[in-house]
Amino acid sequence: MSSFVTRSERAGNIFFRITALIRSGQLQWADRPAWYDVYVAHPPLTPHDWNVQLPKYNEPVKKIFYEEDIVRAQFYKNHRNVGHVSMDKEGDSISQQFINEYQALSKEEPNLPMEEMFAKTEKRLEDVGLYLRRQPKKESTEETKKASTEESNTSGNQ
Amino acid sequence: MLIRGVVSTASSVRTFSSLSSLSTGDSPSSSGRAARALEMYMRGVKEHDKMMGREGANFERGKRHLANMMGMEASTMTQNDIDTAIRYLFPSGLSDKKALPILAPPDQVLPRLHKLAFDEEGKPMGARFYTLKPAFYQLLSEVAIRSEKVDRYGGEKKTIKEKNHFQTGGSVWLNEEKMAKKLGEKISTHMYTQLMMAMEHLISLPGSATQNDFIMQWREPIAAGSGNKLFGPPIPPVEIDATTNRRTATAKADVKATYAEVKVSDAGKGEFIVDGMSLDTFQSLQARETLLCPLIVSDLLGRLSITATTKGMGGETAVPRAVRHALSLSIAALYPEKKEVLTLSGLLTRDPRKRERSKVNQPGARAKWIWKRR
Amino acid sequence: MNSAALRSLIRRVGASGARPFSAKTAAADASATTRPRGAPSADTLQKGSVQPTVLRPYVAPELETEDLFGLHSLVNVDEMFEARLHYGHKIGTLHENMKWALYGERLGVCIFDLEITRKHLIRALDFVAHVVSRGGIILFISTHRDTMLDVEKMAEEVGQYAHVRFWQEGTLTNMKQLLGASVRMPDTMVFLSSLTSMSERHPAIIEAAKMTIPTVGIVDSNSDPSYLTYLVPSNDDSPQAVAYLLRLFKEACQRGAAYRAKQL
Repeated sequence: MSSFVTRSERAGNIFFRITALIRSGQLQWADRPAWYDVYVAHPPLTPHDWNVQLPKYNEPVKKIFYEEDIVRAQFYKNHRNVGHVSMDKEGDSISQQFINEYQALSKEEPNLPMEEMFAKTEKRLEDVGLYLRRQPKKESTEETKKASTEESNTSGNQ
Repeated sequence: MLIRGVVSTASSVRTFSSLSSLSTGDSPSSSGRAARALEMYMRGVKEHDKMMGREGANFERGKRHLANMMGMEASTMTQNDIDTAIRYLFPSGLSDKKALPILAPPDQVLPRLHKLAFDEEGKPMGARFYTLKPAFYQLLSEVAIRSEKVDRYGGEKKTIKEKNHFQTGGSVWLNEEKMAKKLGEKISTHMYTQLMMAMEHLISLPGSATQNDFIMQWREPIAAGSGNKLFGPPIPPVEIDATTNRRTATAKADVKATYAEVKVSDAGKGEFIVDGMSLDTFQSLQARETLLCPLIVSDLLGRLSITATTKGMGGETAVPRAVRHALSLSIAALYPEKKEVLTLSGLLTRDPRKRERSKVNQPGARAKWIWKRR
Repeated sequence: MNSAALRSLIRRVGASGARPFSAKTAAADASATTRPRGAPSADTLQKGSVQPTVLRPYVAPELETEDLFGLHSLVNVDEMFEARLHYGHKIGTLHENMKWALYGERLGVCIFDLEITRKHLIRALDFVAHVVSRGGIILFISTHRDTMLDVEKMAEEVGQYAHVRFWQEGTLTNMKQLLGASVRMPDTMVFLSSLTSMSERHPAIIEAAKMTIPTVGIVDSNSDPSYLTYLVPSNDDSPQAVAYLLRLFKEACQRGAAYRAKQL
């Protein structure tokens, strides 16, 4: 009967223990628990003994970097406090918009040095209406605001 | 179909952790096992009911005998009469209450058997069954859910009245025993503390008055004049205004030759008027501290409306002290749960000191002329 | 069987080409031969204790259906991404036994491989749905402060059970004494968060392992996956992620219950 199941969780995983019990005749096949059949039909995808070492146990974790991270890093060095990132907002963040513009520009003019590329991308974004640097005071206050204030309605975190 | 089962003791009932599979014929004995366990439960129910029936009959018989002995009518005998009769017939010098003889209905004397409710498949009732204290944790969850709801209540309101706090005056939380009895479960001190913290948080939120009905289920009203009228501080009675439902208490106090009368109402805006003048008329810090002391001690600063009038000579400290004493008495009337804090801080004690009379052959009451040895 | 014999058995089974925990090989065998009747032999059971698929012919045929409840289509990587399931904790808190589930590390933050998560989540949902369809009790456990009430609410809605409070030691192993009588144990326990508020393994995991109750565990990058039967590597802290997982488990329970109602 199931009261004879050993409670020693390190003797083997739960399936191993129940099967061992059935094999030895302590538990009848007809009295097996209901989850047993489900386990047999849909077993776990990873071994679940208590001391199993799952794959990549001793391997270092791969670092995720993309090619455009170079551009991204330089962008954030130039503009530390531009824009809030909202997890809920649809569409690209400011840095992503910059990168998209930069990549489009680099296709058109492939051999420019990075500083020039940056200046050109910023100009392009200004034409669209996205200001990354504080503008000198003009008549209309809207245009003098930094890009961060455009995003000020959305709040930061997840 | 719900079957309320009383569980019989230990060995014969097996833990049933398996059940019939849907495919036919594979495990015929599982359904048999469930049926057998059910049989045990039903037997336990029957035994318990039979036993209670027997004890009940014994009690009735004993009651009739007792009534006969005492010359009373069994039908009109109350439990109080029974207790008095037992104490008369069996006088005892024993101090332990549990050692004294009792004659009472069996459900009051015998330990209550915890009845576990479950359905025909053996599934327990209630989603929180495995927490072992389902009723308690359901209450805790409900308090949390209501707190969340109240939290969304506009917190921008400025005045206390608009903030719509739950009024704590006149009621106290059920203590541990009463709470345990109400929930039907044993509660540890730690659990009770958790519950109190949750409840206090709920009350502290603006808009908690919207949950008045729910909160009052877990509080009991406490009478203001429940203490001994002969001894103790003279706490005034509480008047309730029929229309506004505002509670007011007026207390009188005197210090030396100064006599003060203070009227305090709850649900106030925090006004404090002495003889038609506000607090800033009292220039000295000591006077202001004296006047505000009861409010700080009982944590009601800004929550009451206070009006005070004084008569008599009135010195620099006498007026604040008299007003303070009367104010403390009024607060004790309106908020009986604060009474203990106020007595511990000494605010409800009348200061009996009066100016001592000066004696003959002395310059004053205690001072003596210069004494020369030779 | 001692560990040396066990290891040799695993090697033998592995050498024959049959992979442990693989559904595919045994399914192929099952379709070729007729279904055997009655209980499996001791030999089959010995093989089955390390390779459960060997016992497939002995269980009910409807269990063989790959996607009986139609749950596979509910789980897709885009929705998981939007629900922020791929966010793990920082690389410094990574448990060595969770490296298998990571896509990589992005500026110090562990990122789960959502393809792996998808496969495991589907397996877990199938398991839960099947257990419910057989009239099983599911106990949902979580000690995550922000989401524990949602877990309770969901469990109530599907007619199952929840434990989001302090776990009394011996709740499962000493139930008879704590409750005064024997009661039916849960048939599966689903951990929406396998760590307590002290960032230690939840005591119920060990108790379930002792009582041979299968556990489904949502394991974050800082959780220890040992003793859990079905793992689902995923973010367990964001309310959006937990809401997503609860929605799926609710769907699994409801479909399982509907299947059962139809059969009865």
